[in-house]
Amino acid sequence: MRVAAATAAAETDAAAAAAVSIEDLRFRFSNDSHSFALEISSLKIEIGERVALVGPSGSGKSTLLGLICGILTPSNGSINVFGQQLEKMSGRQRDKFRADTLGVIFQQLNLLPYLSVLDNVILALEFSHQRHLTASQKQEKARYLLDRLGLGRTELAMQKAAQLSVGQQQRVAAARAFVGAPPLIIADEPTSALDEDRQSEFVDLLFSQQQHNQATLLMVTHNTRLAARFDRVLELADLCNLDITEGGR
Amino acid sequence: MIIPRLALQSLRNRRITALLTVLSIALSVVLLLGVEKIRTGAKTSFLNTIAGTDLIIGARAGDVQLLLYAVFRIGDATANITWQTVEDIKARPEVKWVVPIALGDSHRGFRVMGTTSDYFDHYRYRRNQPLEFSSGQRFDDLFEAVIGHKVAQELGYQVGSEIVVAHGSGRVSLGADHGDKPFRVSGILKPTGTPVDRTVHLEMQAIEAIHVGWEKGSAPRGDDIQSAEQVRELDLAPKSATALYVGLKSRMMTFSLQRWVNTYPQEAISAILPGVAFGQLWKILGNVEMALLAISAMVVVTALLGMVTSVLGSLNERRREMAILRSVGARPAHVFGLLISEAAALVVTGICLGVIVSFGILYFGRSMIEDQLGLALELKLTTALEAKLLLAIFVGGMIVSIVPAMRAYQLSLSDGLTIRT
Repeated sequence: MRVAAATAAAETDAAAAAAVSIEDLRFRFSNDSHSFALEISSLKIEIGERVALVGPSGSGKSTLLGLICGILTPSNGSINVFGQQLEKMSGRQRDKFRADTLGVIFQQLNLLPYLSVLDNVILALEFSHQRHLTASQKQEKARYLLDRLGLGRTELAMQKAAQLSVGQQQRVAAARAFVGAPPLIIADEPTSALDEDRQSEFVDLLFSQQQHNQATLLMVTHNTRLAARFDRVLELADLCNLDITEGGR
Repeated sequence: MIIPRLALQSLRNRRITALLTVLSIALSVVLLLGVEKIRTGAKTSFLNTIAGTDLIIGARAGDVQLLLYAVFRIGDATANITWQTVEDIKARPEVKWVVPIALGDSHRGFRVMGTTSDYFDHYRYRRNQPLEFSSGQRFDDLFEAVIGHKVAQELGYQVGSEIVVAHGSGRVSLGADHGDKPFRVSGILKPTGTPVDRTVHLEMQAIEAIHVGWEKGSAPRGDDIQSAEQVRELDLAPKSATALYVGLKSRMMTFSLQRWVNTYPQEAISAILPGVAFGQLWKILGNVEMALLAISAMVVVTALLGMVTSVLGSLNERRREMAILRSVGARPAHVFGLLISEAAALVVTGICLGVIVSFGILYFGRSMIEDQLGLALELKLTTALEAKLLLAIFVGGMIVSIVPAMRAYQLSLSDGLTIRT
């Protein structure tokens, strides 16, 4: 008994030391045995690491991100993010955890079109522990970040998000992901709508912010050239025992 | 406060759809308030068709029937009251004044009513208002008539116009008229919104005068025909009346006189309290007002369902918006709250706009409505009942908006960060 307890404590310590730690994960979209399933026996991402997640379409990359974000819950196994066991949290706790710990960037359409650039960035603070900051403090943080990303001009910051180019929108999305200084940034193919040059620039921007915030970065990409710039490239197929009966996950 | 703020900004982004939804709710509120104000106004006007009269006395009949012919000039009396009875009633110590009326003739579809000059002193309507003349004056001569506002308006009469009274109350006289004894309009009354507007008033003696020679029930022939000048020389003291308006010295005496009248041995007569009889009659008409209210309530329901349809229709386009909110830590409850807040903003704006528009219509159209329809509408932003109706609209709006809010909630749970179609 003492040995087992010591082993469990050691595992928890190891998980706490990692940004993301997954053990014996099993997820299925429904109880139907023919539906899409994802199984990962072990995955660990270190704090401050930059990881590229690659794999064919429909292989479960977005599903894995959804699980790490706490939007989806596994049927079995455990997901630890900075020592917090997500599957043991209530839905409300996971939402709060997401607001405080994660910054998320999507492929495209990252912004609420009816909000200004500034308000889109501030939105990330409104649900996190930083929601109690005063309006001017929130604005100051958002403007500082927009400045760093070359979007600080007042007229641009006050523009509606829908009026920006795709490249500008992705930079605003990055600003929103980083504004609360979350320790983990998750990006789901954020460069897919950008041309080759812009893709590289965008990854430069992500890296510089990630270094500035000392955050961990997990990014899904199909671009092997971009993936090569990361500390580590994870092939999803190598990680898990896949059972794909539906595409586009 | 972020959710209400997002709701307002989201609505501003969809301003045309939002504006149309607000307008449809506002119009339904205007309709509902309009119907309610007209219903209340009509009821008040109706119940105040006659005021200041303590009892109405006529030949024994049902209360409503007596009220219908004595006040609304609808239908005919079962019998007349003899003048001796009228004198007996006048002689009662409780009685302050008696105004007799005589019905039976008509003029181009309008009822002709014989009465005395006292009628213009004692007849009161809504909020105890006396009759007023828009032009001319009371009848001074035997062959003069005072006409109501509608009679003058519809027939284009002015002071000095000539009127021929038809025998009987039908719209068509079938040749049986009193054309040999025409009347001259001496005065036109201001609109009252009561049956007075549709009445031609003559002196009681004039009713006797035009019926000289008609004792057999048909138009006089040969020697029975007497000219207007000849009848002036006759004793034209009234021999009967259709009904009496009675004012008492004290309201406390109402029931004792009513009891005396109802047990009057010489003639079968009955006395009614106008207020009580009006209440009975309004109960009969009450179904119509409820139907009107029900129709306008259906319009409100339709407007609210329109709002739900429009919100539901836009949900699919907004799934990305919900995914973004979820990614920054919004709970499904926040998404639910966003949709509810949007609905609340639409409903509250629609209600406020509806109240302002209906008050504006009331403020600027009140005097015209009173002149044209005789409806005295109260100049109030909302009455207690209207406030309850508005609250019911708000609550109804919130209840129906649970449908799209729940749908958004479910979508945000199933979609998470990825839109699944």
